[in-house]
Amino acid sequence: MEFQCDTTSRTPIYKQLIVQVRQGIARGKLLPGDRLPSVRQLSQQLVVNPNTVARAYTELEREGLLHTRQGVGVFVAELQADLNESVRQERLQTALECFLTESVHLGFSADQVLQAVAEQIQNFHFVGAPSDAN
Amino acid sequence: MIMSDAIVTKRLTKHYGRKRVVDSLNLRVPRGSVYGFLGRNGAGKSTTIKMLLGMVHADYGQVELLGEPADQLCWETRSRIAYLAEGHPCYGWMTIGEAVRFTSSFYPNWNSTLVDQILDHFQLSRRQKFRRLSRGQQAQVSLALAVAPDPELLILDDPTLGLDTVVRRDFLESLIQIIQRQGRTILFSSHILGDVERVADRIGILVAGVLRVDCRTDQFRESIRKIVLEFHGELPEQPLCPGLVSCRQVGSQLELVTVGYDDVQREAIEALNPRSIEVLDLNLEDAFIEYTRGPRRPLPLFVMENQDAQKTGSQGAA
Amino acid sequence: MLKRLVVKELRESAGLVALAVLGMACVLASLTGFPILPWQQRSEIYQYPFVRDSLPFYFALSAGGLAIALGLKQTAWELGQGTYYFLLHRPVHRQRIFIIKLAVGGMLAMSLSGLLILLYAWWAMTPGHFPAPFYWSMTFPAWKMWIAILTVYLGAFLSGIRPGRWFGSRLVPLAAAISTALMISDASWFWLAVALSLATSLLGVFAIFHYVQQRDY
Repeated sequence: MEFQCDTTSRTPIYKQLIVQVRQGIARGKLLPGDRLPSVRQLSQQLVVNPNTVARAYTELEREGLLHTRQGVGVFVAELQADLNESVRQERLQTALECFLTESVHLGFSADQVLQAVAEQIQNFHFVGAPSDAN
Repeated sequence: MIMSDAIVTKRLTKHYGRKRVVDSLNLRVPRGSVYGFLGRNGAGKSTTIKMLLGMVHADYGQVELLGEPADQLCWETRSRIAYLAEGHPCYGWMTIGEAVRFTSSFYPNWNSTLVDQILDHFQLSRRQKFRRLSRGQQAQVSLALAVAPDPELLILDDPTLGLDTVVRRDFLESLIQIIQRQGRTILFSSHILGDVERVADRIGILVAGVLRVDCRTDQFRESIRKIVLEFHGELPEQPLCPGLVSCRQVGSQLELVTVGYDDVQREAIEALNPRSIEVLDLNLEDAFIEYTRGPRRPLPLFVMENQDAQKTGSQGAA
Repeated sequence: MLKRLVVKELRESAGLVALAVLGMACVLASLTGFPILPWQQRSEIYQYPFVRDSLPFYFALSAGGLAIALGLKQTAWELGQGTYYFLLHRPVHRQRIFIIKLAVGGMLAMSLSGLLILLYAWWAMTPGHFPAPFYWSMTFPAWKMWIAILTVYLGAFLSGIRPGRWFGSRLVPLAAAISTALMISDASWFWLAVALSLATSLLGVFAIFHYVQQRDY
């Protein structure tokens, strides 16, 4: 997976990296057990201070997305659903609100939105159990 | 062993005629950090750096490098400090090989493999005279010569000045390689804020000879906020807002830049009754520009490592 | 490292030395009547070597010129090039760097100008070159001028190293050195010339090292 950094962006570099890793995991480009470049390698590749990369990795590790094996490297962790059901649902609803509000303001119809969702869903790597029809 | 800071200055002052070019500077560069020394032209960065190296005498104040007073540096400590002056000066008549032999004679620790690697990487022949090289090549050779003695402290005065984009990137890559070696301290001044953002842990901003900012790079970024206010009718006067750096009228909008954005600032702004409030983050370049451009005197922002727990908001409100 | 510094100073002076050698060769040629330009012929000499000749003029021009050029090149040129920022922060005493500069420059100036006088004297004393007797005491006035060259060199060096905003004020040491050199050359006794030259040179060296330590580069 290719990492990038944009110094003109309003987002600090370490946050950009965090976002890229999360997106990579979400899209299935980074699968659990995949090895990420070391702090040294990534800092050389992106031409940024190693501390910036280290900070991104540390935060991701704290969020539970990565884990470090001493002397071996940094790996993508198994996706864990350690938040309880109601919190997860709440966050999902918030994300949906945001997304749907934006779509309405952009002037799309409900069908167009559903179609767009159906298309994009292919690109993402969902790990949850297939929902039973309810 | 307690490691002292790499660079410490105490009330360093310099006048040129009646003008105070560096005003009571208290700089502290911790060991192992990469410190971006920023400021507009004429702010006093180059003069400060020259005072650190003993090229210029201070009118008042003290400098300590690697724990020793700068005017009494012993030979051994001097060999652990590297300096790359503005414009990468070197003897133009010397060939690269001669420059290497000349420089290496001063240092007992000389990593000739490193020099060879850099020269081969950039395909530079040792027979070429320094003045025949392009600026970018001169910069790379100068950096190689500075880094070969494996210095603990590297002081670079605007090292990428006048270099084209590609060469600047090459230079930064070399710098990253140096940074990766533990315990090396780098102080560099630059106008290319994008580069500084990539590379610097801490930044210091010199405004008219006074150090107004000395904190971590991300802390500075996160503190500076741009607030865009829309108004129906006439734009109000500058609000009484603590931490206000600049205030500009743009059409029907008022653009404010503040250091820190907290309840105090929010109240002051809401008191103006704007139609809408938009709070924006800025990248380092924009933050620097807003901070150093404003007609109002910029407010100081000092955060030391052991005060990280303090909110930056309370700093701005002070 | 000191060897490298010496080599560096020599290399940097090479151009000036070459010019000086050329100039002095021409001077010798004209003093000895040797034709240099293709249309000249071996001319009769209407000068009496060392007693009444154009040596003082040509010597001042060539040897004096070399001394001034060397003194200024070693100091002001490095300043203009910005190479002090490449040199002075190195782990070596600043005094040593300048001692080497002075030693190399002084030695070059004195040896070349001394060589000029020696060669001229050799020519004058070789029988068949000039129809008049030659005594070593005749060369003393020339040697007085030679001693004065040291003062001129140091004056130029001091001018180059001394900070000053106005170009004119910076040249004051050089002007003073040249006037002193003229006095030395005209001194009644040889030993007076030596004493004067040594005294002014010592003064010059102290002043030089004062500015070396004190100035901003």
